[in-house]
Amino acid sequence: MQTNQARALIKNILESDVSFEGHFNKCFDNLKVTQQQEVIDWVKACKELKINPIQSKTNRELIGFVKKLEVT
Amino acid sequence: MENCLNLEMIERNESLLVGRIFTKMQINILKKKLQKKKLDSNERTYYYKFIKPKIRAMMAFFNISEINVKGKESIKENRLEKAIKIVRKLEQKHKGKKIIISGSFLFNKKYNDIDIFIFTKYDKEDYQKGKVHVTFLPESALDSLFFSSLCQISVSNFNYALKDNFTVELSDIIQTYELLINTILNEEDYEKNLRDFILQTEYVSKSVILNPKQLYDIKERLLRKNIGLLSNNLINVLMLSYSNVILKSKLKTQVNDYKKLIVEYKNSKNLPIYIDTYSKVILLANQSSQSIDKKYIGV
Repeated sequence: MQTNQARALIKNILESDVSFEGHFNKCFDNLKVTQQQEVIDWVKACKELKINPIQSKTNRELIGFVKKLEVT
Repeated sequence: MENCLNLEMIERNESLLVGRIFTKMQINILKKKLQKKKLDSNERTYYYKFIKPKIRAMMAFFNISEINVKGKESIKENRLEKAIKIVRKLEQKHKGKKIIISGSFLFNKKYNDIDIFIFTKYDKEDYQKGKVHVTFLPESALDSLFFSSLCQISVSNFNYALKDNFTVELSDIIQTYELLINTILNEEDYEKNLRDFILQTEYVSKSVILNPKQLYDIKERLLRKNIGLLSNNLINVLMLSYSNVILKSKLKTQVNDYKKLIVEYKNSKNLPIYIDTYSKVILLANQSSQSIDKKYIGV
């Protein structure tokens, strides 16, 4: 999947004009196709409140979601 | 060779060096080089023709190797030679960079990866070649608790002044704990999170910076244990390391935030664990404050 496609898909899922860190393209490009799909599914699960949230240590108003992917 | 010297060493011994070993001009060029300032062509000639050979000769005379070995007694036979070879090989590829090997390759019979860290100003992508796993870190990492631990059993091509005093805030340790629990619940690889957790908890509660072997042994013992044990460990560490007032105020806020969040995230598995752990700390901190009050009024 192309990174611009992924960005559009994620914005669509989140129904928000989220911004992406510059690192996103590089990371997403390095993933296998199955892992890219895993990330998209995970974003969907975040939107559906199915993923464990973690509070930011610097800003209590922010919550984050963490996913680890194995890159070889 | 430059990695074995630092500006502080030169400045401290300048009066001894000037006139006896180097001229004032040579010292100034050496200092400039160590500050990573650009040398002009004249200075470069002086540096490579006169200064560098003198330093090399002095190092050879005093049997000082350009390779820095720490914790030699813990390093397995044959591994030291292999490690030096790897550092030498990587020096060719990453010229002028600070390179350090640490981890189980040095002290364990069995090992998975050979962990190598290269310090660099610029962002570079980590890579793995066979068993060799190269991680690039910013130079600021030299001042971290992580580095102070890993360098205790290590082979490197540079000298360093070790920092031994760190500030680990309550918010740091809580975040490390929360990430660890979350990674376990997600059934992801949590070894790195566990290492961070052990390193921080041992430091804040006992002021001990574990060496990589101690860290590895504790990590192995905790790997197959349950979340309850890790939470109890955190409770003990927080009670030993922070004042009751700080624990009560900070953790009450945290618990309240998570209680609100759990209304929305009904199925989250991590939030009930955090709430339970922090509530236990608050309870203990309350009990501890009350017993101090009783002592104070002579009950």
